[in-house]
Amino acid sequence: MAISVRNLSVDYNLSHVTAHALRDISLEIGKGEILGLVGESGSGKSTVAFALMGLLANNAKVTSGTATIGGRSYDLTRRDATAPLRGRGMAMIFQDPMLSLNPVFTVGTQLCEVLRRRLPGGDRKAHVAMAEEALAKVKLSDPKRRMGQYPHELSGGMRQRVVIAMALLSEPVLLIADEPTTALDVTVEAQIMREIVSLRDRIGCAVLLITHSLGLVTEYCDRISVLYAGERLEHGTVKQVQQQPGHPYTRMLFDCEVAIDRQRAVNVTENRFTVIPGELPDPFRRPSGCIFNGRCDVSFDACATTVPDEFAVGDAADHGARCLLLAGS
Amino acid sequence: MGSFATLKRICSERDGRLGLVFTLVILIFAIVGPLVSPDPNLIDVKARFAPPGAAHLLGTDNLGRDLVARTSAGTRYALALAAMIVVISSVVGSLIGVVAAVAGPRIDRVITGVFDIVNAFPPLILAFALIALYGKGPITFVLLVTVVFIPQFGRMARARAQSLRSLSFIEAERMLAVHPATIVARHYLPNVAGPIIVLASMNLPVVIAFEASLSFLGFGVQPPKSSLGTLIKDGFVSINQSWWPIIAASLVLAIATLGATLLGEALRRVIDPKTTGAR
Amino acid sequence: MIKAQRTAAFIASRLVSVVLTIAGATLLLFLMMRLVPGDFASVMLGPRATPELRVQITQAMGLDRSIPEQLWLFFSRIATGDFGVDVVSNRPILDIVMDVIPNTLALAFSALALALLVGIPIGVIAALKPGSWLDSGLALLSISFITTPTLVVSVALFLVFAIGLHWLPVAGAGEPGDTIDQLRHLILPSVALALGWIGYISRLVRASLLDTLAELHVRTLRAYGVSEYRIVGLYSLKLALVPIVSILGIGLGELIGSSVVVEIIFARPGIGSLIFNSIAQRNYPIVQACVVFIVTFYIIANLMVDMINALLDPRIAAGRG
Repeated sequence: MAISVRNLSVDYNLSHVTAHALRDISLEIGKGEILGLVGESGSGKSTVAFALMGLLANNAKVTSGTATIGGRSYDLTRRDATAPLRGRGMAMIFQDPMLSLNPVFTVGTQLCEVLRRRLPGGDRKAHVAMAEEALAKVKLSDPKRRMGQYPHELSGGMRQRVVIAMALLSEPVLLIADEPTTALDVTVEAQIMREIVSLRDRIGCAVLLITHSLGLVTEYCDRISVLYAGERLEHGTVKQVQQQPGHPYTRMLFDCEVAIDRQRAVNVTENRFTVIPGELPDPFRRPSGCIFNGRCDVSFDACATTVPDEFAVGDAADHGARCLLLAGS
Repeated sequence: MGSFATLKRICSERDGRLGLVFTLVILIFAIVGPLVSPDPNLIDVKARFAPPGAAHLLGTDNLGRDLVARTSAGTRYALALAAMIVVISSVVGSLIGVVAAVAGPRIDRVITGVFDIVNAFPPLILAFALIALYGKGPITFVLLVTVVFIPQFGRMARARAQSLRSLSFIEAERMLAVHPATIVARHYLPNVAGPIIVLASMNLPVVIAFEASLSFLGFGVQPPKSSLGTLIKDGFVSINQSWWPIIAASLVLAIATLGATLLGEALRRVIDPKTTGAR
Repeated sequence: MIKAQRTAAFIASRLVSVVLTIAGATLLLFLMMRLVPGDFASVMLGPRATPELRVQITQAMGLDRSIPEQLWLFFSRIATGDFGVDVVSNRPILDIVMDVIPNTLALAFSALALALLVGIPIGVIAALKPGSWLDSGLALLSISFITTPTLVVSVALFLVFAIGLHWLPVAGAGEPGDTIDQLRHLILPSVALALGWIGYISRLVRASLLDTLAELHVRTLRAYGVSEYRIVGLYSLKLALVPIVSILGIGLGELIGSSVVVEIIFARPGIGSLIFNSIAQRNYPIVQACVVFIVTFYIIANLMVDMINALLDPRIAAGRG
């Protein structure tokens, strides 16, 4: 595995109370693989990204976790443990391209800043040429002119391409894309995803794609991890999980997705959309037993008391889920 | 929020406590000073430029007048003038500002235009010109300085009133043809009051310093009345003989403005936590 | 092309409003002088009013004509820089004003430069560790700077240097032509004038920088390993300075205004002391010329501030600020 994360737990300290944002999350991503990390909003997906980057808010604390990136191991409980990797081994693409670039510096300046970090001592002219080349690679028209433009002169999709070019220039081992298309028009989504995939193809890095959209995961990812209220409930290859979801939550998530080609009733009120009833559990007080108990449609008595271990789903060794229903099989 | 709760919140932070202490010290000095010291205008030529001692705690000035008495009387007069200026300009400014916001775009443009023009003059220079042209009596003085400070309050009231205009309950009353004056009195003025009080409290120290500068230059308080500014002027004139007079008045002025500012900022944080502090 | 046009439109609209404000301010000045109760010629001349001087000033200012005509005369003269001749010294008023303006400008700009050079670093240091003892200490220091009236600061500096130490000259503007001497005479008045603005700017820089550091683009730079020094000192500071620059226009106006006090205390020739002395002598034509100059300077300073801001933040010139 190119990248692995072990037992990542993060707490948020809010005046007097502590919220457990993540509990014992583990992830593995192979070189050149794309791992989709899915979950509802509030499930802690972005916290995983920021904990890895060491960019958590001041009131957040990593209580356990190690990461292995590029053959070296990092103790994530140490603040800034992965700081040396920022811009050199790890790169990140953010959710809101409208806000993720500095409004008073040109695109070129901000791209060159990345190169300043990765190739210190290089000359400015070479950096400008490389930055222009990167803009061309992410298919931004007229790269020379774009270099001198300010972010407000570009559309959201174009700005996201600029951030992808930054990622490209830093040649990471691990690229984290945190909901890279959520803030963009649906029409731009596919283009941006294609640029991310082509970036992966170019440098062969591992990609952690954080999203709430199973559609994106099934279309672009090799593997999937399902996050719920700060816990990983299932992981496996996209194919395995799609064909045989091991956890009721995963199954219900897939049911929620409306397939485009699904038959629709003429009377729209007869169209049935599946929803998962109930709400996320209180982050300040984890219920005993299975975290999904209460919203689960197949739970039984033991679910309220026993925290399920991870069990293999089917025969595949790399497909597991934390559900007591799998205990006997 | 009750005034006691406000006071408690102000005391809960260092700057608020400091501001309160300084302000109280100045107030007590202004109120109690004259009671425990001789007549501020009592001339004692034999005791000219006496250094601080048992008879005169802060010494005496060029005519042998007691500096505790003079400084505390000057403080009292300066505070009274500043308070009057702030109250009048905030009330008049609020009214004009609300009118600008509700009376339609044409009147609004005229009023904001006048504000812009008044603001084009540096405050001290405008006050100078007005006072030089129109006289120096205490009432004239207060009214003329008020002119300088009205636009600030007017702008604040106008901005606040504009943000209220689209609120549903006000629109509803407009539709019901409630008289505009009633709407202004019932909704706009009470809602404008909060930020105006904050601005007024933050402007109090500015006005205190402003009055002192004008009086120092001879455009403010006229003899035989004295304020902190005139005391500093008197001290400055006789600085080669004694530097006690100027130190006493300057120190009181500095503490008064610091205390009032700290208190005003604390009050702002309690009443209107969203806005950021301005001078 | 379009960008240049937008910038040009921005500058043009600002220029129009500048011209309108100067015209409005001049009109206000005209009205202020004409609304004074009593015979205007006597008001203008005060105790010096001899019948000859009265005739002279009535003719010079067109006081025997109709009000609109007088207004036109007033405006057209100011527009051509003709402020008339001083009845006391028989020198053109323009010359009298021009003599002292360099002193005041030197004072105002050196105070402003001092305020920026000292205020910005203090604000940055305070913003680096918000809530620390250093931050709260600097906050109290800044507030004391802000609240201590220029009058008190000037008096204190005067006392310390005139009576205590004798390091720096406390009176005058220095020998004309002797730059070193003039600079030495500039130090104390500049410090007196700048102190409040040091506090003010440091507070504003701190607040603005903290706001900027909370924005998402800062996270992007951090994610790409850009050093905290460059993030704070270059990328965030430039953005944080936009609101600071906006108030510098007001600042220059206030500095010119408070320069009166400083110029009087440090016996420094300048536009402030000229106004002061002219008002004391009831020499209103000079006062009027000074006020026109100050207002024009103030408004042009504000215009320049807008231009600098448009350079700092390209969104302003594009009309999206």
